[in-house]
Amino acid sequence: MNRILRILFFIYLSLCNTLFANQNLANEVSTLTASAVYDLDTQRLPILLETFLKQHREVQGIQIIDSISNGILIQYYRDKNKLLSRQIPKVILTLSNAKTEIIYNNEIIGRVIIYYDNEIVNENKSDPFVLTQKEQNWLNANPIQRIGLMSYWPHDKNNNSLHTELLKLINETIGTSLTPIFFDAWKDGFEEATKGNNLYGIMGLSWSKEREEKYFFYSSAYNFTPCYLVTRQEDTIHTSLKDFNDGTLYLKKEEITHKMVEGKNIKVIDMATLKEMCQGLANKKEADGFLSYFVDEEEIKKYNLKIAEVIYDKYGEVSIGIHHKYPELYTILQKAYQIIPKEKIAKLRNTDWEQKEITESIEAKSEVSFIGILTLEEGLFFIFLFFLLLYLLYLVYSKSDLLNIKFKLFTFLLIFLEVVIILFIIFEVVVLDRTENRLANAYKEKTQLYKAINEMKQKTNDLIHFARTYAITGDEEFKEKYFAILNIENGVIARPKNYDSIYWDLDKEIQDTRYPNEKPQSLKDILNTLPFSKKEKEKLKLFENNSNYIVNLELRAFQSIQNNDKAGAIAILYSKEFHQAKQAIMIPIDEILFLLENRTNNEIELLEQKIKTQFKYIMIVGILFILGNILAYLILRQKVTTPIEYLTETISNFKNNTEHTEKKKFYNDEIGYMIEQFFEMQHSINDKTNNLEQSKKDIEQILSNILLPILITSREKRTILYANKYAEKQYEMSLEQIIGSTIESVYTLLGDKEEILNVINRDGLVANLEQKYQTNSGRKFDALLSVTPIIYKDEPAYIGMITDITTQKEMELEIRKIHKHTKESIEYAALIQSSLIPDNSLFKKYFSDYFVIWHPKDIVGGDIYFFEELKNKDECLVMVIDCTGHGVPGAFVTMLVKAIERQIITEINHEANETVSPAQILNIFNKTMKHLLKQEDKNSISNTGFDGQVVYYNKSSKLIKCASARNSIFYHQDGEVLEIKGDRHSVGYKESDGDFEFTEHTIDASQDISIYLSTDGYWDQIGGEYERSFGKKRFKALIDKIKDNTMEEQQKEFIDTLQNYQGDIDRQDDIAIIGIKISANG
Amino acid sequence: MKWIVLFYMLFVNILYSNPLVIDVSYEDKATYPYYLGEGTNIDFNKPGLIIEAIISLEKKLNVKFNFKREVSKRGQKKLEYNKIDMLLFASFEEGRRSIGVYPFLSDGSIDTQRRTMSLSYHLYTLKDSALDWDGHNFLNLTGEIGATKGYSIVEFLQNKNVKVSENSSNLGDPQKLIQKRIQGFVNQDSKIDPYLKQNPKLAKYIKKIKIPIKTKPYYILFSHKFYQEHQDLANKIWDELQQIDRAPQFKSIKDKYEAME
Repeated sequence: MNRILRILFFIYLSLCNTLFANQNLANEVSTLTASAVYDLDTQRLPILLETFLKQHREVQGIQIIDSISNGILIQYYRDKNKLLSRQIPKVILTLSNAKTEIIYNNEIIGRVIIYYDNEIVNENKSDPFVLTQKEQNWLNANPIQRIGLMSYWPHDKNNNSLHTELLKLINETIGTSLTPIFFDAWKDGFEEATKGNNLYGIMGLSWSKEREEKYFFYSSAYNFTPCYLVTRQEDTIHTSLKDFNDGTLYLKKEEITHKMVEGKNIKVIDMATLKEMCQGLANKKEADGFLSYFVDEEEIKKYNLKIAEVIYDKYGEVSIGIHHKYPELYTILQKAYQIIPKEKIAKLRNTDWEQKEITESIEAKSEVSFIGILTLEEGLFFIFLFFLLLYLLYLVYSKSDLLNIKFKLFTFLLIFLEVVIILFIIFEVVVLDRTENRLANAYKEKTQLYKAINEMKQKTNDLIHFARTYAITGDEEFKEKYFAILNIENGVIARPKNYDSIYWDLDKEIQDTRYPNEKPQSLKDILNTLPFSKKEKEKLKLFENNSNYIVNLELRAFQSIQNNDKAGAIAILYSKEFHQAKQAIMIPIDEILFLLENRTNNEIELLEQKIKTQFKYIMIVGILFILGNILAYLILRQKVTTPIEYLTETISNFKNNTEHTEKKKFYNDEIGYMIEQFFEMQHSINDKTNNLEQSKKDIEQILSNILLPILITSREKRTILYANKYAEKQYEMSLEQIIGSTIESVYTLLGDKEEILNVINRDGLVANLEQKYQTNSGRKFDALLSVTPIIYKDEPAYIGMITDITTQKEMELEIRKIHKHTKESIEYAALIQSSLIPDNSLFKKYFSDYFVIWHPKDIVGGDIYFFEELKNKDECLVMVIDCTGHGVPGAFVTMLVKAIERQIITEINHEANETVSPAQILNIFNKTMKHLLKQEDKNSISNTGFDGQVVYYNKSSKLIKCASARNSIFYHQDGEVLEIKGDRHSVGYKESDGDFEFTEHTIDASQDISIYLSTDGYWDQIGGEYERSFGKKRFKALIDKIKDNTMEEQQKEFIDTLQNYQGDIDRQDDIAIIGIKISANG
Repeated sequence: MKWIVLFYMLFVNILYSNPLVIDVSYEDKATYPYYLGEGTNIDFNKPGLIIEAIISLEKKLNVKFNFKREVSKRGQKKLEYNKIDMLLFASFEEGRRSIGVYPFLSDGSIDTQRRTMSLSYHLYTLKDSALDWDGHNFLNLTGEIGATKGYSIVEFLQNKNVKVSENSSNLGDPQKLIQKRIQGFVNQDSKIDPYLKQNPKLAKYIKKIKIPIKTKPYYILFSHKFYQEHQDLANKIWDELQQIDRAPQFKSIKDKYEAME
């Protein structure tokens, strides 16, 4: 009881579990869709529901009911692997369901009903092979899984094969997307798969330790690959692996074939490749055969080898190899294998894919055909191509810009297309040739096979016939013939040539003539060399086995005859058993014939079909090629040739200056652009030519109006091409006379003709070259010649202009005379001015050393200095005066100043008690000059005066007094250079105050002192790096620098310093500097 | 018996004097100044001009309006199934006559005079964009134009062969525009302008094309059931609320919202 309760409790729990699980699914849908249902978002809802259904296989249908309309907002159901948004079929509506409300923003906005399949739910619950989340995630992240397959593996015409169908089966079962990628060579596919990048794995992979360790996970095996025992063609001893006991085999190194010989008494020699094994077998003779899972039929034929046995064993198992990078895929595949019923894989494995192809190809014949050659699709495609070509043709002739091909691109495309088409045709021709060879071989093979089968049938009948005849007649000859047949068939005695045809019905003589004996060869061996299919071989094996049985019966009958039981023998040979035994032989033969007929006919038909198709393609491509070339020619003509011809004609017309070609509009391509540009260029050239013509006219107009004689002369002929009207006057000839004449006939060059030519050669032109000329009338004139080379009316020429300078020359001579006279006057004035300069030797009387620099800027100057001895022989005056201006005007002022100065000195010397005052002297100068020059009046025309320094020195009292108008006095005493600034007031000018009192300064000369008086010419001189005035600061510094030198040295230093500073700059003003040294002891 | 009759009369009187409750649905997106705030909540301190205007009619019409905000598509469906009485607002589309009743003239045609308001759709684009609207056609349009899902302007744009990028929120478009996922967007300026004003960072990059893409009248819709039962009341409501922004009786409310701006 307790136990029953416990079971009931578990059932209850399980039920609850299921119910709640499904209620949870409904809740999940409710939560998932609430927002979209609220928004009535019919775009988002399908996505959400599809996602949900994909994740929950057990859910077969979903309905969402909208609370507003109380109707179905959306519904989905599962139909096999499809998800359909249609009315859910009744069959699903009858399934168990779970419902829940959809709540959003505290409002019930709808209901969800899910319909689920209890079986799948339970299956899911108990099925350990449901994908884990990790596996599901991996699948999501890798939506396509590429698996390598070989294109040469048996497949039907749709490329379906055991392998592709298995992949489909797995995809359907577990939701993967395994996608086949085909390779033409195993090596390529295998190498790609080992990388694990593009391929996730490879099919048809047999096991090897290295492969498993290095690259792949092996899924459960899904097929078996046979192993081939290969022997030499002539080897009749080793017909199966069993025959290699105590023998030697080549095996491929590390290949699984080693497992097959384990425990057997077979010696193994390892070889690296299949080729090596073939070569070894053919040449070395150290082994009698090799085992390999892969054989190359051509290679085998080449080395005169044969496949002695086809072995199916467990080592030939092949699997899907999944690269180590993808363990999830491996586990997914393993789960799929667990789910997929084994029968399904077996069914796929047992399907004869090649046979299927043949059957299907026969069925395909009934497909809709187009004009008997093409399929409907092909026909439509080629019609489309044809119309496309027609359309292109139309575009060419309609000059549409739609076919506006850029020339380079067009050329490239054309060449590319031509090459592709030619390559395609070559390829197709090669393939056609090969197919034809294959067809010929197929016919040959068919004949061979039929001959062999015919022989089997014929010889079986012959054997029965001879056995029965022997039994009836007792004639030993028949018995001999019987055994002869057996021996021939078994390869014991020589086989007559063409033994398969009529032989035994002919007389011995004819037999010997027509059917000479060849080397013995058993029928079995012959059959082994023939290309029978696997199934046919199975039938042959059956025939062989059954043949033994009937031979035994026949031998039993012969035994009866030997025992004189003729009736017994006949009874055996005509018995039901015998008949059945015969039938047991004939049925396989019949079946072989049937199979053979089907296979060979189909093969031949297939090849013929292929040839037809290839021929058809060649024809179509050939026609397309021709059409394409016609089109290309038309395009070339329309787009290239015609526009270029037009352009050539246009250029020619333009060159020959004939009538302009009418402008045509071509395509907007390079040639169109060239034409367009040419017309623009032509237009531009015409414009420029017109402009040039106009310019020429303008220039001639200008030249004719120039008030100078102008000649244009041919460079080669030296004839005059053009002359303006002023040339008539200059050369005293009419224009008619001038033009056409040579230069020499118009005027004679009195100067150096060579010089003109040299200048032209050197400089390219002559500019203002002064020469003397003579007209034909004998008039001589000086002129400036300018010659420039030009092109005049397409001819190299010189344009020459002569400026008659005879008058200017005369004026120049006059000016020169005046200048000379003036210069002489000024030089004389300079003599006069220099007479004002005191005798410098007087300085020596008063000063221990001195120097004087007096450098007028011109011949005469405005700077002057005076030295005056006063009546008291200890007293003297030194003055440095900078009068207004320089040159002659300045000199005039110095004369006036000298006159006033003389007057002042005279007055000083006449007044016995007069104290000499430099300031007073300047005051007198000021008043006198203003008075004399009438500059007291502000309206006075003249405004002349001076700046200057006056120094008084009393030798006995060692007293120095000085005053200065503007210019500073510098002195050096006690190692220090001092400056006495002048009053900021000039002497005598209109604006000078006549009552101005100049300041007087006194200096004690009881100690050594050097005094420097200077006009502003020195420190105002421009020069130096920045072309600025020398300045007082630099002047003072110079004094400080040279103060200890002798006055002569100082003079030199002053001059040199100024020259250096001045450099190439012109002197600005007159310069006057006086330096005096008073020694305390002197 | 007399007492029973009296009681019955009193009951009927009380019953009839109770205001009629009218369920009103309106959009959960703001349309300045008609209704403010985003989402389903209603701020009755400043619900918007139209809501206040409607509330102000309660006493006069002896009704009680029960407001609910939801997506317009849902509101329309509810109206169609008589789950609500009144819908704010819908532009006129012939197909929508089946979901509710528009104010109409005696000949059955729509009475545009009794529209509640007019809203303009404008094109907004980036300031440096060449995209423009000349009153009839888009100029320099090369990309997609954003519009809000469920608005009739989507169909209008699609009919003009414009590639429309639908957006569930009015305010997603400016963001999409800034990210250059769309070339421009079309929306009611009453929705976008206040938003841009509040978001000067966005407004810095966005310009409004002055010529409106479309100006549409918007109406109050009543459910067929409600209209059938309360035809006079429905007409009164339409009359009272017609062209609300011009109606003198609502000027004070209008001023209040204008001051808010």
